[in-house]
Amino acid sequence: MGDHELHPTDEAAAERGRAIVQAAVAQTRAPLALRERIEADRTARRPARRRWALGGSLATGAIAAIVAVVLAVGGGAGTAPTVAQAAALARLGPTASAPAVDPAHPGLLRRSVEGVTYPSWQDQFTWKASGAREDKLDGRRAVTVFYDDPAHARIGYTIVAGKALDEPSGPGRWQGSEHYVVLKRGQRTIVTWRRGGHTCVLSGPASVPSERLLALASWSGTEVS
Amino acid sequence: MPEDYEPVDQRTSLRPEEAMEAHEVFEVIARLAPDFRDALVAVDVAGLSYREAAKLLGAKEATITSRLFRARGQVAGGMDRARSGVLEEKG
Repeated sequence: MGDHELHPTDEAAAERGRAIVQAAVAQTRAPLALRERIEADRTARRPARRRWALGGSLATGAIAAIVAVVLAVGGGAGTAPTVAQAAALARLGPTASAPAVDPAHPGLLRRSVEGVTYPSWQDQFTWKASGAREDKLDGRRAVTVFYDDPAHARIGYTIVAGKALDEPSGPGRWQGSEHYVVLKRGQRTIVTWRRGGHTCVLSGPASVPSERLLALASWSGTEVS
Repeated sequence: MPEDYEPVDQRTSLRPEEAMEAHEVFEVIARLAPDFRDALVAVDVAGLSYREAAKLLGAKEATITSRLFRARGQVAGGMDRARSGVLEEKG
């Protein structure tokens, strides 16, 4: 991306972007604290006849710190993908056929990511595997298996390869040794947990209650043999 | 990032969906080209004037204005795509 001429038709988008950033900053402690630091420094250093008052080294440090915060919170180049990114895959739809049920283990599908196997819910919960897709998130493999219920609601179960992602904040629940976090993102409900050292994400439409997603998430499929 | 890392936007009064939205905005900002991102962070996040940002980033004020304008537009577009479920993957 380089510098471009300004287009009047983009003004509305730019204004909307400014408002979006302003709202996000207002929600976030660290950038606000750094802003206050800059303001304090600006006030303290303002000489009577010199308008340029911001100390260069402090400002440079503060900007670097804010950029670091942005990268840490938002996930910049070279950082791990986020649960939100993994959950977004479920909205993209399948690109491959559904994995088959493992005949030796009817509670499992014949698809896994680094040892974590997708469950088959069709007997226990009437959700049937309907498709799959495979993506890369920051170079890491993320496999999503889609399940449909008889009412044609569709949910996506994503497992991200590699080290577990940072757990987002949100209401959680312990079930056995696993901690499940429930999040709302737009019209979607997301449940995330760790299994076998990997992050698992279940994302469904608002029509599927979070309790149902939790029940599905906590059923590993190994209960049936 | 350590396991006990405390998210920056973790506030007790914040609803989870709001935290996710702020997180999404920073995600979009983090993916901007560095020149655009730095201009936006300097002005819209750090609260510097255009002149201050220009001096700090070693660019003309007009360049900062242009980059900021484009960056804001890209944030709006990025949020639209994020909310419609389209994922922006880094190359």
